[in-house]
Amino acid sequence: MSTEEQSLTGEQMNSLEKVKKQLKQVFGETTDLAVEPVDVGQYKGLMCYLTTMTNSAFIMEHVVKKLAMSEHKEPISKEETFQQLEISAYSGLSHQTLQNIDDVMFKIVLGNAAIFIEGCAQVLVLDVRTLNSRSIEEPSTQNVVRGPKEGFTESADTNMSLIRRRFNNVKLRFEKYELGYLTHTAVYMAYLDGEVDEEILKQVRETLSSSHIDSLFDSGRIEEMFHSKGKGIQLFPTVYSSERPDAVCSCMINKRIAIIVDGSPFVLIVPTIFPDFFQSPEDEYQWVVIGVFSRWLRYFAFVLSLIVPALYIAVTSYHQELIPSVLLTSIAAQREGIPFPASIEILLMEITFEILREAGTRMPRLVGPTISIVGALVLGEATVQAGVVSNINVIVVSLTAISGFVAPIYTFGSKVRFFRFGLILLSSLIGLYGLVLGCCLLMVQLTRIESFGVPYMSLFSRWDKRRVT
Amino acid sequence: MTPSKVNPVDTFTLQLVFLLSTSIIFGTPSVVPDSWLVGLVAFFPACLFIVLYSAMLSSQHDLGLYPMLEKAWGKIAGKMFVLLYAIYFLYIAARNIRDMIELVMSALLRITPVPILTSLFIMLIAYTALGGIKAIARFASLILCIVLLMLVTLAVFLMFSSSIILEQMLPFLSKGMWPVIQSAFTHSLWFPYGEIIVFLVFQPELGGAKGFRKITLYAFISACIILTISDLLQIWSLGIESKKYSVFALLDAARLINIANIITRMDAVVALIIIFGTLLKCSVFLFACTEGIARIFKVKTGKLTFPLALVAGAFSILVTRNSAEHVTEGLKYVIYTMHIPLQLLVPLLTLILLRIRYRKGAAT
Amino acid sequence: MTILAVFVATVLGLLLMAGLDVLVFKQPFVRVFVDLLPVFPDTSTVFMFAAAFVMAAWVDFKMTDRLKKKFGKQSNKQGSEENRDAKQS
Repeated sequence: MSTEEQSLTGEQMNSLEKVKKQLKQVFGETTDLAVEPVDVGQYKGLMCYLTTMTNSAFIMEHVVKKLAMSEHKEPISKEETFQQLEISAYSGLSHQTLQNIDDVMFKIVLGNAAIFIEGCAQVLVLDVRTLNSRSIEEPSTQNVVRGPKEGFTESADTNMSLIRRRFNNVKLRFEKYELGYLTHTAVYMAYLDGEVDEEILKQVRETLSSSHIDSLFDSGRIEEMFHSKGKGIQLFPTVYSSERPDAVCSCMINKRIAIIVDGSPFVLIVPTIFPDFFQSPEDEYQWVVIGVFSRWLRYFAFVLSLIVPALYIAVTSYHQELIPSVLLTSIAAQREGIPFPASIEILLMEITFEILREAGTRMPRLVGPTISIVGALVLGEATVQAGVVSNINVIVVSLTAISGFVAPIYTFGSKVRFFRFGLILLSSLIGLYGLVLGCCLLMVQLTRIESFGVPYMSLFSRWDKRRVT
Repeated sequence: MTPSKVNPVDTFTLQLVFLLSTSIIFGTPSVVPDSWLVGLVAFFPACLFIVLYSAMLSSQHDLGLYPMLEKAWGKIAGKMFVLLYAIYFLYIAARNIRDMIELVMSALLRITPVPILTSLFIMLIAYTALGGIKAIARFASLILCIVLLMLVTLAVFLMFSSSIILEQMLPFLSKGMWPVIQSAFTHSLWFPYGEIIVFLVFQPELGGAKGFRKITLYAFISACIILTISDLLQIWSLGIESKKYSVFALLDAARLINIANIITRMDAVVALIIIFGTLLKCSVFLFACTEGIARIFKVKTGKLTFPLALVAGAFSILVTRNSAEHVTEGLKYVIYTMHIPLQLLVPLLTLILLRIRYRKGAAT
Repeated sequence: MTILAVFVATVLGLLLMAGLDVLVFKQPFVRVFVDLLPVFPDTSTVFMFAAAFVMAAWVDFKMTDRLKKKFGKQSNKQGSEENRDAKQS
């Protein structure tokens, strides 16, 4: 009987030597693996964890101290010791009891500490993950003047607590997924149960669980995944991402699903509709009129940034009769002596601006002033004075550039900016007609897209009685 | 956030823009002095279309036009009719493209070759039609806002440039009521109101007979009001005589705008209205046509869209040799040979056949 | 089948337009039909019809799939083998 039991336990990997060997086999010679012999009650034990995923003070305070306290005077069996540990000593910590050594290894990688007891089949796995992460700071995008200044950080736990803190509601649900064959990144789906449409929820779950990616370092990857799921070509972004907990929460109230990726301060919102990209969280915290005004201003700026250069080209090179004669003379006077036609002139300056913008975002902070001096003086003033481009051209390009940045979501602006070039091309080929056709194409595209079955842009949807939102 | 269904408001805007699109620019054919009355008068018989079409729909539990034809006329004759309707829709689409191109040529671009303008435009139409009726309906609501905004702007500008002279609509009814009624029955009834038959094709998706009756009635009323206002604007600003001889009356009215020498030449705005409207109307027709042809040849609808759009584009160039022919053909022959049979006679016969055949069927 | 559909639509449409032209110009059908044919003076419509038929043929003969297959063969041998396997099975 006893020999049989011994052989059984021998098979079940719980002799400490064997565990050590196995750990070594799996983890190799990695320096951050701590395998330390400890005393668990009257028995010998082994604790192992990754030092990079926790800090030693935490281990000392919460794990080792309690191991020592769990010593009992009278002898008890291994199983009882184990239960004692599980129920009384570590009741405050999140813990799990596992049997399979592979699962244990995986948990260790995720930042848990495993406690093996000599000869005991079960392994106690404690969540001791304490990661250093950026403290909560003001978000760098989507700035507001009035309103909460907290922003999401790279830690998903922090982000979830930021959301939960705003919803003191039992209906808030977090569902966990692990994405990436190599990285096993935690992805959380947050929603208000009962509010969100079941069909959409099902689709999101399906997409998340059927993803085939090997690594995931930012929510941008998932954004692309959701985006490419839609049928046909989609020129406009169909996923909203935000760094602001208040923006995310106000979206979740409106029956959306938030997706939090560990390691990314950008939380995704699906389904997304077009007006979302013109909404700043600040709009709700102000007098209604100002909010509405600034929202319309944003739409206006969006339209401006799209069509102004194309319109300029179309009107000056094809339809001069549409310009009031006074303005026409002043434009003509300025363009006198300019060697390029209007379309090339505009393209030249637009591309210059794009280069400046790219340089401005990527360069180190310290050389910033250099770029702005070169940009403003050399490209602005000097080109005009040298007679390479006209003054009105600089006005047009800078107006477009500024209005391009009005959209509260940077990704939206950066994607839409490229349509401008298409429109410039069309209008320099066939004038106003081309511009109108280009705009029509964009509008058709806008109304065609659906984000998880929700129409991207539907003007009168709020008057639909069947709609619940 | 809930997944999409076709929104009744979108259906309404779709039909409204469909009715407005080309007729707003060509106005009611101005063969009679008080042309603005024609639109009003035509509205009442037009309501009979609603009655007829919704009776067809409700008798067959909201089947589309094509299955209904096959059911009523049997397999072979039914297929012939389906083909006939598909070609009819294609032909109207081609005519509308031609209308638009004529206007763009006269208002915006005079030297650009027509085939280029047409091919770009039909590509856009095909792309719109590919999105399906749901997307087209959403697009229509966008278009409606733009078109109405532009119309209002136009009216306000006309007012401020003091071009609106109310006396120009006099003499009122100088030849009595009869020419007006005659014109209503020979022109305005069939175009734009009768063209609503194309929506029978999509009706299963748009909400069936019940929705059709109500929504189309509202669309007819709004279209009638808007068309009458635009006709009145044209008469007030141009006068009866010059409206009679102008091909694009709204365009000519827009040319009158002049506010402090800054806002002049608003014809571009009118051109925009017609481009948007025609785009929508043609994509509806093209979509209906592809549905029909795909049904006969058992092909997927999406595969046919681009080739048929190109065919429609080519037709739009071939359809007439000059604009004089275009106008006479459109005002006279198309109405008698195509609109009246296909909008009234065939549906009426179909309805009667359906009633006869399936009352017996229901009894047995 | 798409080609046939497009062809039928084209021919019927041309006949329809010719019929209307008969009414407008009061000329015999054959003459009107010949006038209508897009050969002279403006040949652009020929190209448009041709483009329509090319598109229909493209769809009919599944050119996109074929090109993809060919492209896959050149760039990735394993893929082509998989394809062949799939074909055999």
